[in-house]
Amino acid sequence: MASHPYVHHARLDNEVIDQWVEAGWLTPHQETAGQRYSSIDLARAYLIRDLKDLGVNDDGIPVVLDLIDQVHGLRCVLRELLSTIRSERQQQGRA
Amino acid sequence: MADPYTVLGVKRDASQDDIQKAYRRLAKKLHPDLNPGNERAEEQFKDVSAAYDLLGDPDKRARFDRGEIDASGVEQPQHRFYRDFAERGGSYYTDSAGFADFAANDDILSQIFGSDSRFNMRMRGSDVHYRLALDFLDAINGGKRQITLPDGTVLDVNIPPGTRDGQILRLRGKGRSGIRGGQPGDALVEIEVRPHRIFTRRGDNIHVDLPISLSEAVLGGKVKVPTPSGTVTMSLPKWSNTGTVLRLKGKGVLRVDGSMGDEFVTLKVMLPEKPDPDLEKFVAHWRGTYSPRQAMEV
Repeated sequence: MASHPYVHHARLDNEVIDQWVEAGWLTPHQETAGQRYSSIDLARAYLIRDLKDLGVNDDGIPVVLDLIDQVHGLRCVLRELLSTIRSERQQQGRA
Repeated sequence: MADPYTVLGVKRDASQDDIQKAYRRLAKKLHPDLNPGNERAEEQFKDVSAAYDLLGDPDKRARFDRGEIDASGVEQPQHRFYRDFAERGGSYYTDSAGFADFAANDDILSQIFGSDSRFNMRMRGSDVHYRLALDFLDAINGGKRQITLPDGTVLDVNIPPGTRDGQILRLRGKGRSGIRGGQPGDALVEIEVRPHRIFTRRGDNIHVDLPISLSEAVLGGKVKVPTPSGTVTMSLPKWSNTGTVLRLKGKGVLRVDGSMGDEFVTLKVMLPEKPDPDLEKFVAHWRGTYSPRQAMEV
């Protein structure tokens, strides 16, 4: 398996990452040939490592990840809504 | 870097257990991924984790206490947080469960995310940011500009009249392409307006200082005044003093409602640049009683 330069910096073993993939915490999408993990997968791996450092146990990790992903979903929708409202307001202003 | 004991808020003789507790308490509060909206969290978290990197390891801590290594030697390698990827334009991890209940029947949300609002299936492309510097008059009068992107494509930017410094123009669909059929992102162009030699802008109004001669000030008459849309002639009343402000209606900046701001002309009486013997002789014969410094009581 091809590893990624970040893996070294992140102090993460490929083996550990494989376990996280198996647990469903990481779902890597191949970005370029020969590189299994994209930048977002590794940033997520960092987050999992940090959560473990914070004392979150293996049962807690998927709960926290799920909530964080929901927050990002909501923030994404909120940003979209704001930008839609803003551009409609601008168009009304120009009309 | 600051003293790692201070950063973690522990005493120098704290136990390893106390140090770990202090780190966990701060990190829970400051981890950027647990605070996606807090810009400052990242900087603070980096300090805390660098301090813990040093003090959390008994060997490193002992070497630090003996002065063998200093706090700056253990800064962590640059790392990007999950929040930097997870939100902008969405990702395959981003979850719609937080709003799925009201998204299903809501036409506003389904418009944004496509007819089937299954969030994970199609993702809007991310926005890209550019900066564009404009000359003062180009921003006020509007026009077209082109930006050449790093990949060689050229983007036409329509500058609406009255564009302000710091304004962000949104070019729909000119950002990165969407994922799995999602809409493309937008290009956001931040405008920087260069200052002008003679005009300044306040809101929708233009301000300009207009030098006038002594005879124009005393006798009045027609003077030419520069405006952003060209030179106009203005009538100067008799006895126009320095500091008098005259308004040229509608010679300012186009507002969003289609009306125009005004230009304000501040008069400045100027004596001739070189001494004029005739004027000196004339003023010597002039006996005025007015003291301009009355209000200063001198």
